[in-house]
Amino acid sequence: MTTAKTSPSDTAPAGADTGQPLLEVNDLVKSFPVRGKGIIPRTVGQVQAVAGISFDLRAGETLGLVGESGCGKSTTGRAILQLHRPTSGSVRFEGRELVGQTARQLRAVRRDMQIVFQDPYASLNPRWTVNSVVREPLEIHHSSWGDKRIQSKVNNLLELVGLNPEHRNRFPHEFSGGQRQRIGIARALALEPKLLVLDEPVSALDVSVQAGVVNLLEELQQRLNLAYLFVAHDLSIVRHISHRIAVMYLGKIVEIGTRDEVYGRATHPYTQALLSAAPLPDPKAERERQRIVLTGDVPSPVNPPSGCRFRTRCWKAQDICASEEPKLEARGEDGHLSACHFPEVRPRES
Amino acid sequence: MADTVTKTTPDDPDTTPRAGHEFDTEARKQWKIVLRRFLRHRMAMISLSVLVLIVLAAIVLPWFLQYDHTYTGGGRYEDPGPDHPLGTDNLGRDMLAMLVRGTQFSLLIAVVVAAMATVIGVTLGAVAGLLGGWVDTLFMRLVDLWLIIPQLALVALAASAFGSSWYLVAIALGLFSWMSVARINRGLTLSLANQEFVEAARAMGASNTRIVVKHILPNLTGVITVNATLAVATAVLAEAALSFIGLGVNIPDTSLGLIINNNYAQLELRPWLFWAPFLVIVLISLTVNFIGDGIRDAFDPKQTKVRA
Repeated sequence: MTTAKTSPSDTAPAGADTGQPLLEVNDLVKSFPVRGKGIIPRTVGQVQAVAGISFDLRAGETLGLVGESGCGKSTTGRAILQLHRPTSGSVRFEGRELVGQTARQLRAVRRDMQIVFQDPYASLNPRWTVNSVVREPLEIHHSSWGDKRIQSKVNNLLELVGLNPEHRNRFPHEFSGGQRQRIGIARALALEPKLLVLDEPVSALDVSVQAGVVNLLEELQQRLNLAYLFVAHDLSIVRHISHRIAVMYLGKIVEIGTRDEVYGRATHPYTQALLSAAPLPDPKAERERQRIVLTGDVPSPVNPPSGCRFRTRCWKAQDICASEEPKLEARGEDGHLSACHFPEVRPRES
Repeated sequence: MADTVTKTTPDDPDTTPRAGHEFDTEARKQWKIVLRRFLRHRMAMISLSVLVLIVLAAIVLPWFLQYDHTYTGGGRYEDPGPDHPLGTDNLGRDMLAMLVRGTQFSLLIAVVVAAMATVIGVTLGAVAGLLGGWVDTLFMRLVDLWLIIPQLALVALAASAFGSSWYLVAIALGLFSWMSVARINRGLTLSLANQEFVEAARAMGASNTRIVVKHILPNLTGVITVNATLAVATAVLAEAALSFIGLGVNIPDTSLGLIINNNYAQLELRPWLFWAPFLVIVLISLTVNFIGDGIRDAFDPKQTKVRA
């Protein structure tokens, strides 16, 4: 484990110990083949959805993973859970390497890491009652438990996420989006995991419902000492829930640090642009907010720019940005990690 | 059976909530709900009754009939009468006996064909869709290949090699009717396999078998039943076509298609010779289709017309 990866956290979670991290991701790469047309499809290229990222996550901690659509956030989450088999790199969970393991070998680890999906409609089998949905993980992993024990566990889980266990015989379509998301959370918690990958868990929900689910997640984290990998593009929610934040652009982490470091003293221009795009709740501040408007589109991940991947849209770009890829390393005053040749804290407006 | 059709007792806890009362929440087992919904599907129940009657008639009637299908002692084209309720055909065979025998074979063939088409098609389609990659490519090229094989030539070859009997006809038809089922099911599986609930099942360590059986297949039931019922209907007709060119069921046995082909020239003079087998064919395909409808609706949890 490289020590440079963990930044000194000023908002360390309550349950975090100083020992081994729960999850260590090292140089994780996931590429998808681009196939040409023809009778025998030939691979004509590779999309590096995740292009070598490293971070780690401690028990009870929330790492927010932000970035625009298509930057590889969700793929990262799935590659960690081995739902997409990583192309290379290493994912260690409690010190155990997951990359390259067979489905059978992974089964035991799967108890400890679960996922909550973005779409509360697609993530529940429409033909199953809520009861069967929440039972499924228990039936797979605790087949010896017996019906009574499983059933009482299901009832407890439903209560835990704020649903009435008496509604367990209803079908998913009889619930609202927020309730369905709670069902998904109950299912993910059934095996008492240590890590939850939350793949945009609230972005499909109404704002009013979002708060409820986010609060539930926070409460559960405290009660069960869960580690969250919170994938999202909503900066305000990420700010609210995360201890640390990683910003992704085109398959790479461009900046990672504690919440205050990233939100207060961002040094990477992309992070600054992202933050400047988020509206502020205070109308006065909002009127004076200076947006950094990026020009151009995200380049195609099939053929990413040389050097710094952000240089095509960066106002600071120099020759060095095209020739040399900036490493993700401690830059700036507080020493959180940033991948820019010209790191600089943006002067506060107001 | 008739009283279950009209029975609307609201005995379900969800439809009669007693406020403040901890009502009985007996687990709604999937098959129980499906069965209850199906029993309340009026058209399906009527169709099931009719089909059961037809099947029973085809099985039981031969014991009570005066003549069987091998009898040729009647006069040529006798009119219906007490001796021959549906008259006789040009060879003096008793039409009712022929009809019963024909129904037996048509039903047998149809069921075998539908079962084969469904089992082969759904299995290949679901496996191809779920596994993807080279398995998918291989299976789908197999479908393409199968579609261009001249079915008739192969059946003729088989008939000359093994002689023709009802099960050979059934197997031959079954071997050539699964392709569209496979294609449809592959496409649906492909889209289902990418849905997040399947991914969730994977994330909790479910095996491929479990995913297919518990997640994919239940979501395919609608398409499977519709295709199976269509296969029954088309098999009856396809068998008729094969019998017409002498590759299907042969004398002294018969099938509904063969009876129609033997007698369609008599449509004007002796319409019953044509309409009787025709009516049975229509009844079989119609009732099977309605039953299929009922099964599909029963499996659909969003179906609110007949609430379980």
